[in-house]
Amino acid sequence: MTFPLFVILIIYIVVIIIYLIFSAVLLYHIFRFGYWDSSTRLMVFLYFIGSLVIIIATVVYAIDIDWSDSITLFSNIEFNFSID
Amino acid sequence: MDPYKYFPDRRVNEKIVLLLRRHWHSIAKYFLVFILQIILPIIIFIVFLQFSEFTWEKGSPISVLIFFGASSYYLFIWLFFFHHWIDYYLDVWVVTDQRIINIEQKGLFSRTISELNIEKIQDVTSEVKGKLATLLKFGDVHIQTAAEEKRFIFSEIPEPREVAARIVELHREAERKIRAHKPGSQLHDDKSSVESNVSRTF
Repeated sequence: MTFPLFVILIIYIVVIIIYLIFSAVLLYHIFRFGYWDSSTRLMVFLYFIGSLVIIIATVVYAIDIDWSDSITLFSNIEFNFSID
Repeated sequence: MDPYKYFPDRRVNEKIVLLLRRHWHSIAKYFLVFILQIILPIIIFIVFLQFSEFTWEKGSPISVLIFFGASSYYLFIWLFFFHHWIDYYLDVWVVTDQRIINIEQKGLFSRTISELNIEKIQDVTSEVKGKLATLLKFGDVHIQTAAEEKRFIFSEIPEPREVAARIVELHREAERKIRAHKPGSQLHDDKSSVESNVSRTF
């Protein structure tokens, strides 16, 4: 099974969008129902820092990639759908 | 900290006596799972590198797939841990001198707020179950009203015995107050006035 490498990038962008939607919902809950005290600030700060570290590391890795390449998965598996 | 933010429909002269959250142990167990979720894939990957012919080359298609897969995985376990923390943080039980309010966050899109009047309480039971609960001093408090009604459960709260005792005390004070205000009643106990600044957060 061979497909272009940039498909991974598209899937990752979709993952990031879903992640941002869920993060926005969680932050809404904090601002709407929670209280903006020191523990909340610390948790929100850690959450942003953690997310940023992961995303920035991925972006830095992605810069040098040749996205015109293609990827082959399960090349050792032969599919035989014929009925004898 | 303004504890009154937790219930905006505050009654006249209503005072918060206890503001309760689950014991820290309930979020600590998610934290342990979170740490395991971080470490385990790294260990599995190292073992995989040792015992397979695969070599990590930056830019190779398989490495790209693994890197982006790992990035997505870590983003989501980070999100799930934050979600568990919010679930812990937004579950609050407020005990006032007039009622008990149970605020429960269920997942992302469900929030339940229920309340009962303190004078309607019939039975308060504290329960500390297990070695860990005994050691860390946390447990459940069951509050029963009329038999047909659903009872309130404060689950995994710190110091359940003290909380149960305080609720019983508040119930007695509320009953005394009601009796004192009944026409023809001789009872006018000064002690029945609820303490003004008793606000404890566990």
